[in-house]
Amino acid sequence: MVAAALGLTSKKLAPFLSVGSIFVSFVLSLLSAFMSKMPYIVRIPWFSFLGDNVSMGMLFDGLSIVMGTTVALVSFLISVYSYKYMENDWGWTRYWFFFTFFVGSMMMLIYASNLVVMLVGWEGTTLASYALIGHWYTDEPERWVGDSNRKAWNVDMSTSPSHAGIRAMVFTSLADVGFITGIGMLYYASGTISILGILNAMPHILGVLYSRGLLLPFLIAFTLGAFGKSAQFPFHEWLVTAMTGPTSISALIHAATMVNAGVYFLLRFTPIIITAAYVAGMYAPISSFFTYILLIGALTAFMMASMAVSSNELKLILAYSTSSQLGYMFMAIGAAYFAVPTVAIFASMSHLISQAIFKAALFMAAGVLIHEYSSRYIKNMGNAWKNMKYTGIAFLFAALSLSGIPPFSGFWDKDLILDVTLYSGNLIAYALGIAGAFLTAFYIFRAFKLVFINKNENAKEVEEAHPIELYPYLLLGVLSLVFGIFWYFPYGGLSQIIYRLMTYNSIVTWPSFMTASGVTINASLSAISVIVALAGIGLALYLYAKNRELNIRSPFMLGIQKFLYDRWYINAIYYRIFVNGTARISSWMYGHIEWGAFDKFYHALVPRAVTGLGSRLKNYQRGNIGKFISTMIIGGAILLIILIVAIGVISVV
Amino acid sequence: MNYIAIYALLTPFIVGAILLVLNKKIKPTIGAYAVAASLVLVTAVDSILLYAYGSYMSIIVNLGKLGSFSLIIDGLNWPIIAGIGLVTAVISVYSYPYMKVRMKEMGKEHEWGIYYFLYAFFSVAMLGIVESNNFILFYIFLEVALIASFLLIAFYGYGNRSRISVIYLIWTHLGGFLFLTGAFIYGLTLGTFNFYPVPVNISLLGPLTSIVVVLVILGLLIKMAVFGVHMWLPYAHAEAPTPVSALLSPAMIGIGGYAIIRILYVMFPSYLVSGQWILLALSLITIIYGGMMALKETDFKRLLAYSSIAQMGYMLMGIATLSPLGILGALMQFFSHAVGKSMLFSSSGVLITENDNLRDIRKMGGLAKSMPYTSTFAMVGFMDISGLPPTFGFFSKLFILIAVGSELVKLGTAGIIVLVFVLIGFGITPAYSFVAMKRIFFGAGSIKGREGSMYMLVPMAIIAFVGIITFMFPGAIMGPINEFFKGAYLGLMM
Repeated sequence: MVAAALGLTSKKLAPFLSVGSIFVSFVLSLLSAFMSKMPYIVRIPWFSFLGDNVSMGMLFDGLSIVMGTTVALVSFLISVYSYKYMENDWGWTRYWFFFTFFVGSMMMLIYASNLVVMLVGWEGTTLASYALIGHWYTDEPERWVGDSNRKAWNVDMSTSPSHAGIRAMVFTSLADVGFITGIGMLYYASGTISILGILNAMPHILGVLYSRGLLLPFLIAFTLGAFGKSAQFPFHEWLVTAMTGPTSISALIHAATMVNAGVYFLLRFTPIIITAAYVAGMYAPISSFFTYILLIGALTAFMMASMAVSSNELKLILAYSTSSQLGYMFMAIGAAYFAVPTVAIFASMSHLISQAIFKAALFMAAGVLIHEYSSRYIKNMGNAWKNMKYTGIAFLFAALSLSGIPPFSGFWDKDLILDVTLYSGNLIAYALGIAGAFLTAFYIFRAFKLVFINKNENAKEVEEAHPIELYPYLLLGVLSLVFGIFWYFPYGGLSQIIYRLMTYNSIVTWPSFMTASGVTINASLSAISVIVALAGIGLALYLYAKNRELNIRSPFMLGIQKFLYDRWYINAIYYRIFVNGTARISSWMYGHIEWGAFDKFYHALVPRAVTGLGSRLKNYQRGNIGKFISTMIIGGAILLIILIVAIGVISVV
Repeated sequence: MNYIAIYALLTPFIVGAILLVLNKKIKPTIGAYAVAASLVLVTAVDSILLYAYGSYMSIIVNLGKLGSFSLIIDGLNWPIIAGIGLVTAVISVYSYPYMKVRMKEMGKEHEWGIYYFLYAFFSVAMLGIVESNNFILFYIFLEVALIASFLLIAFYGYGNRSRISVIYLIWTHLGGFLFLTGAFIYGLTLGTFNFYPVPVNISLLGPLTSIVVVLVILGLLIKMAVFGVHMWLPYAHAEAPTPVSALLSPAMIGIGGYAIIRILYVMFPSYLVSGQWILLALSLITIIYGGMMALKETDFKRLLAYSSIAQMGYMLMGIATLSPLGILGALMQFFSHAVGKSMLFSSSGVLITENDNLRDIRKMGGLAKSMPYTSTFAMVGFMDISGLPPTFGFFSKLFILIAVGSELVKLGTAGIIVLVFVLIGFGITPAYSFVAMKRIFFGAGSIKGREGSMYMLVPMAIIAFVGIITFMFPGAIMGPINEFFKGAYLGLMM
């Protein structure tokens, strides 16, 4: 199941090993859905610490199987695609090594039965994403992301691959520290790290932490890793610049591995927290925690969609889109506490599946377009429909699914998410969600219109993609339609199967009032979201009917455009405050404290004082060494004085 | 059987002495292999003894009032022995191609005997420190190691090496002096200088206890180079010949942390509790300060030296939790740091010997393409110190953070402040690591590097392999520590 990282063998063999192992893990994931007894746990002893055994354990339940199957399927198709896409790349074996490592880590994370194994997979994806985002580490200009000379508040808005890799690493691993510390708090309160153990001990854990006044800080710290990984505000910046990696890797990060890990983590633990809060009768801190998730999700969904509206790089549009869609998933999770939890959790999961399918299709199509036009800017593309009909179809289907147009799969779950958000009673989140949906439809059809329909004299002539590249994303594009059709019909369709799998084969035993027998759609609310989406599409087609660029004149609108294009100045703020701030502090400390104070004091002032003393007493010291030996004596005397004071203080205390 | 550990420990001394006598008559590679083999022998014997006995103690000689000179091998020092044994043996081979270049540069081409004599004494004295069960024996070995490393820096170092070696000597002796003063108060009051078994009459110390604890801990903190008394470390570790840096940096300074555990945590747990806040704050400051300096530093070896300071902060943080979990993390931190930092210093050594003393990071960039192996090993090293799988560093970071998380709960709401600083401190390590990685190996780059020879790459590969294999089978390092905590100490600790 855990696809082993075998890639470093031979040049020819590497891709086959990789593709093959991913395919095997897909088949096994799918088969395990038919297991009779669930949840099912496999334990392979690994190590023990202080009497606690940690196993290389795997946990099969509805959630992990649904997730594992989705991830393995999408990763498999992307691996097939990249066999052609990465042809003749100078980092060929390295690519396959980390690709397999990436998928393997993700599978490990998904099927982990305890937090240590999950963390290994978790950090493994961090490492693999670092390596793959920085795959073209020689930083040729065409691999960068962002306009090369653009500056916002004097901060460069373009990022090189190796720089983008560092950003991914630093943003996510900063958040991970919170996650690991959270594990420590869990361990203190429960004495266990296995997920089942935590499930049983959760009411107790909540009680212990609440009595110490640490419940909310704990929940935030524990889920911080998920926010980092899933690129939610304020950690979203790394995902944007992660576009410097090969496009197949962008597809992998955005659709299958990495970003979904954070959502999966919350899907795994929020049910446990919700049921435990019910058992422990603890509502206030839990409710503020879920409101926080809901609002962060809604904010990210809206903010990233708005950035996508103004972007000129095809991959960048899709990157903003991913972060925005992840925001929707977070919204559903946040709403879970206030609406029917199982339905909201299901909504989040099913949106994850749809997103994986259409986003992988969009990215792979974008990769081909970027190759064909030899440019990452949509201003250099146009009229692609003429020669690339199949790519166009795949892109269109995926775009419709992303916009939430029935009967595409994206419709059902985005609608469900907006439903549960409304039920949660948080109107701000609902309004942001609706506005985000409008912008989503707008930006993706703006891209579609400009790339596929509108004529462009600057653009090159293009050809249809090679079949190895084409079939994977065409299949995914079609899947987003097929899934959509069978999602709800007949008899509740796929949604019912997945809902039952997730609810009844879950490790969590839901109290009956928290579940619904199935998923239903509120027709009038769906009408609103469809109208909003259609309005977005309509506006995009209307505004870009003829022209390639909007002719914006009013300074106000230009200001907004700049604001959006420069990513709400968040990047600039981060660099101005954190990066430059840290750099300034560290160079100040380096100059003044390290060299100015410590070095001067220890290695100049003290020796000089001693020299002065020594020469007055006797012409004793000879050269450097004598100086330092006298330093030693004086230094020792000073330290002794400090010591005596310290001892005095301590004994008084 | 009783003397086998001491015989094993004597072999490298003897090998070193023979090499000194033969000096010019032997081939340097033979010297390298002989020293490496003798060090492997010590480690192997120790591991067999540990495996056979669980915990092993052998009394060499009884000294009446001084207690007994005895060696101890148990779970507490197993990660340290393993780390030092691995690094010293492997770097012994690595130092052959390195010192060849260095000696040629200095016109000292025929000093192989002296070099390997000092190297062997330095290495095995470190093992001796770790195994000794007596303050005096501890100090004697410490003195041997200090003088040997002092001479290595003074003979083969860079920059103003006489000044720097004296700085090193004075600072470490200051630490040793404080330590010894504490040891004398302890020993003369109690009538024994032994660590284990903990003297039954330890309460006799009475009010002197706090003096002993403060003296010993100050001495050891200077050895560890925590914030405030760290100034000697960047000098010594950066200007020492690189193989010696690779020994000094992870192994030598970490012994200070180990000794805090062995001596203070085991014998005076209640006294540490009153100073727990200070230790925790000190470790956080050390981590953040070291990381900040590493971000700023442009000399590769000095950067690594600052990173060592930060890593010692990690170790101190594990100790400061005063829980078995934190001690476990701290001991594992020693091993993972030994693996990671020795690999990083080795890769800086490749840059120095093969690329004309290249140390300035500002002149580097894009070297990964011309130096694929070195950059891979450096990457593994940086992964290790940032705690990323699949390297052993993952576990040490994990357990330290779990212990800190537990400690936060005990602190209550005040824990939130600590949590913020922990986030900054542990976030800064991957930042400086991967920023350095980019500045050295990635990016456009203007120069073309030359890859090191097999004598350099194979030792690095061995260390990298161990770092990864111990990730897969962490029981090899953790098992004995578990056994230790299962034993008699556990009741005492909590």
